[in-house]
Amino acid sequence: MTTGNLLDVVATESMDARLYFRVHPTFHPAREGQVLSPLEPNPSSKARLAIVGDASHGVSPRAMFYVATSPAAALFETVFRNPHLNPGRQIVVRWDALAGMSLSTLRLDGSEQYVPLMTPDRALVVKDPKKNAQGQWIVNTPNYAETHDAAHRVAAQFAATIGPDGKPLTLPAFGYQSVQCSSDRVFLHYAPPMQKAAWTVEHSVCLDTPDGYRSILDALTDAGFSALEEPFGDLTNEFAPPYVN
Amino acid sequence: MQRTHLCNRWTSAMANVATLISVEYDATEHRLSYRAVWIDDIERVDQRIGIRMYAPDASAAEAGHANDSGISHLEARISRMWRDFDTLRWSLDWPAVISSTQYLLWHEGAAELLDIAPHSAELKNTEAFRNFVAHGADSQDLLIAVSGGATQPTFRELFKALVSSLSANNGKIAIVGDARLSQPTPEEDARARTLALRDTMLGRNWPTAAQLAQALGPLAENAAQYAARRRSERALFGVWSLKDNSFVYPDFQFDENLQPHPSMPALLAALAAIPGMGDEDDRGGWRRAFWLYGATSALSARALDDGQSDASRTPADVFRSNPNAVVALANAEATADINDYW
Repeated sequence: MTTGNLLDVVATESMDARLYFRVHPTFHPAREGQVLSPLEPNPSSKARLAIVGDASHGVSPRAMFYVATSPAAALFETVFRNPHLNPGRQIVVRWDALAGMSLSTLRLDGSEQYVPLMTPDRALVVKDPKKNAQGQWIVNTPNYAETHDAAHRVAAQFAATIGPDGKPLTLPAFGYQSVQCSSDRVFLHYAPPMQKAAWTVEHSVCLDTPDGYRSILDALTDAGFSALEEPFGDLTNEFAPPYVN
Repeated sequence: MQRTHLCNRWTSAMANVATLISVEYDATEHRLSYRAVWIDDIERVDQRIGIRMYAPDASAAEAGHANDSGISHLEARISRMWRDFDTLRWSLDWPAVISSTQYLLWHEGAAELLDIAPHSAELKNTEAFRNFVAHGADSQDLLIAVSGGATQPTFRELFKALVSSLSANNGKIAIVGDARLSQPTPEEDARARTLALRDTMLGRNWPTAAQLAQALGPLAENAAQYAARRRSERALFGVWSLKDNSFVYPDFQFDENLQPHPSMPALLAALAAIPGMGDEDDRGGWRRAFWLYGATSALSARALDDGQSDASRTPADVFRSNPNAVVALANAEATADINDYW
């Protein structure tokens, strides 16, 4: 891993106004029984490129807000983040991974900026080959904790850059290609500056319901994967011996 | 013996109630076989499933049989045990079984045996028909269609009509199916793929308890007892084989002398801590088997700092050379925090 600035150029691009997809808890993790707004960022995220805070360097944690350009990409970035793929791109839809989670369809109405880490757009912000390789690594590694330092450093680069209004810039978001769905993109926003008013909730479905299960099957099919039903041993003895009473 | 799978109804276990009903016809013995499982009270909180099985012999893969002499007895059993099915309606989405000559039409509450010919063009354009022909249609195999309009028959009603047709035709006619011959649902596809993957794995001829015992030499207990004990000690990992009616033992865990790897207890303990993969939730071992034989980028050579390749590898591939990495992966999944991924 390199040290110092991750970006050669502090710059951003604009997200397209379109539909995005987000996987999030159905209920508020900290407030029992309260439904979580699909637009609520996670103040405690430890996911990829999270800014988890570093008191020794005076860095405060920042809330995170993930969206993807397809339902499958949103699923792979969250509940299926480290999939075990069986031959034929088959993936077991594990009930436990879905419990308490929802998939929401969101429409971006306003303008949101992001740092492009996908190729070829990454060339806008990274020129050095070593930094380019590191940029690729941080969006591919399954070890999210290893990416947090990179997020801190980019945030620091933004904070050290004065914008047109004479104020320090704030890192708004990263964008990168989905690891599993390479034609789709994932955007992770920091709040602030993410603005809920820029987004509208179109639809939500609880993943641990028949409708949610169907939406997962459809999403995986659309992305070129095949879903496997989790082996339930009790139904037919296909997957487990009979109970002995 | 020629067996024809006539129909089944499957409601995903993702719902609060799950049912499976399947019917097969043995054209050689003119015997109808059925099995049914009715499950409710699925508690999603702890993933345990309360189960009530309504079948004459719950230990048998095929729970009931009917022939010319046993039809009335079967009917009595159905009435007694399957009263719940009065509320279950046959779906028009079931897979069809196609025949070359005749089919059964459910029409205004009665079953009619009809000639297939007027509908053959439409039927032959279906994938189900092509599949059926590809697997060998026989003159004794009949298409059965259910076309009930607004009111579909209950399971018992249709079963009764089926049994009646069998009797009236000297056991030569038996088919139930789907008039529309629709495609399987995504849920049915997912289940079928799961079964196919399981069968592929079982096709690897993993060792049996007897083979393990033979490799160890004389034992103080029989092979099945030995294997069961070692499984309960988490020193040995087995998967259930329905066709063998016993466990078999995936080969990744053995050396060339069929000795289990000494890290198996650590691996099985770590897997048991992943929600849904404990010994009780995964009694047959298949959830763990799919995990062990599914490739993940977390075990690529680059991720483990033992090479430059980013190619995903399966835990089964890596276990012999780097058991600690596989155990660590299982531990990481077991201890994952929701904030790690949203």
